[in-house]
Amino acid sequence: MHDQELILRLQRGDEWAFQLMVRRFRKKIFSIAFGMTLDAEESQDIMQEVFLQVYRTIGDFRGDASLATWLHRITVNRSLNWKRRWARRFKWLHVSTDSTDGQPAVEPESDLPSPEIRVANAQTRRQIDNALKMLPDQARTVFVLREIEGLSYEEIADAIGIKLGTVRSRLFHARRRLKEILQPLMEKEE
Amino acid sequence: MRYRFRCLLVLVVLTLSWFVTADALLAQESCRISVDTILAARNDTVVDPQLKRHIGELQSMFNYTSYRLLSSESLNLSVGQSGMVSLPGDRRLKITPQSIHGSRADIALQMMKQKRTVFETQVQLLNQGSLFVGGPTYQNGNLIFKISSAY
Amino acid sequence: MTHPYADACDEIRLDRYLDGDLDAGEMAQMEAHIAGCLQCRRQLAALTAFSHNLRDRVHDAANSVDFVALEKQVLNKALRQYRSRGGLSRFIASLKYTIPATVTAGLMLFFAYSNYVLKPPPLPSAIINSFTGSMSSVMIFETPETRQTILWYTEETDVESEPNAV
Repeated sequence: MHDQELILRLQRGDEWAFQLMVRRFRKKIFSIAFGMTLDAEESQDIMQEVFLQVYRTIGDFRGDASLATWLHRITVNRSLNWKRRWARRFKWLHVSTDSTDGQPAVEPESDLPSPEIRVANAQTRRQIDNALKMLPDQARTVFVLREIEGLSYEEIADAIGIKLGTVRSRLFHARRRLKEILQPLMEKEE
Repeated sequence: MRYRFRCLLVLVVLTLSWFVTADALLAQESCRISVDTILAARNDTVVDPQLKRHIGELQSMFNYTSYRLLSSESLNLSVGQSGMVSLPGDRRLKITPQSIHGSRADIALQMMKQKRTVFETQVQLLNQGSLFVGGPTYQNGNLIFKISSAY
Repeated sequence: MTHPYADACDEIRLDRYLDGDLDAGEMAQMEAHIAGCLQCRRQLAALTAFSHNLRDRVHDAANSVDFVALEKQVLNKALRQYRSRGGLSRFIASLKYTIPATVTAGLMLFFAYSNYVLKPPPLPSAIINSFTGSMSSVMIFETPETRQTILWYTEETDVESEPNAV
């Protein structure tokens, strides 16, 4: 179903259209939320909140952006709000890559048979999480939308409500920061 | 559904308006005048069954012991239109509604015996109300004319 | 021909190269530079690997989610929301008709009560405005409680008269 028709049906309170929208965008919204929060449970809650907000406010949707852009916008805002909320509660714990007792700091969750691969995966996960957490919110948001969702600069600008130049600038700063964080790894690989 | 509801509401308002204004609207056209001729006497205690409904009223006003309904006549008269009712003893009552307004009707009454006018009177008769005109002797008693109006 | 920027490391340009935001000419220059620049190759590799791992990370997290159950939860919550909101809205909308209907019914009851239940004080059944005639006597009475008007007259030609008829 085309976006316009979907929106019209949603505005009429069509339950089936709502179901279709949830099915179409659920993974996308979860992915963005997870990229920003790195918390699967919270990402699920954010996903629900996004859909419920859409259900409540679809009547106000003027169609000045695509449905996807509007969903991106809501998801980013909710994810940032989550971060701010939990930052006050100090939920984010600094997870060290160096474990003093020789055991990995975070239990790996993988169904791969090889323990070495599981450990490697766990380390990679930690590296990614730590590196992302070190990015400022604004840079991280742009980076997540670009690298996870593959949005163009224009789409990112629409989703966050910033200028094209600002998108480029923030993306540049995100990658610069990541390069600094990943520098030791880069030297190790060579 | 919304349309039917509105129609119902309009109907209710119109019905209410009719109840409120019906008196004023209909009263101006015509009225129904009834004249019951009653023979009241003291030589017996017969009460005409047709007067059973009015016996309480009659006994509260008069101290006769018997009441007989001699005649009952009704006229539908428009404003300005005269009607004549024949009464016992060669009497006639000419009735002319002159105006009908609010709860009263202005009625001109002319009582005649043979060809002579006995009296003329202008009365304001209450809707569903009555005027009792009595006194003339007849047979063993007195005649009482109950003049009622309805509009 | 060697382009003036071919040997210079340009982080911004590298970024745009990563995003495919260079035109054909710029792309060729960048590729030529990368081929000869270890630092840029390292940075490119690291960023590309990072992005790849990040996408895998997100993909793995998404795969562990029961989206079917989540979808049901969302739908139920949305319907509950709709019903409670709808009920309220419907209630408010119905007031548009309920209030005038109630007022009308109230007015009708008031008039009915006033006219038929509450007995107003009786008015005189008849008011004599004028009276002329040739008779012996005339009396006009009004009964005290029901205010029934009685006009009692004695004709001049009457042989018998009843002075105590009333």
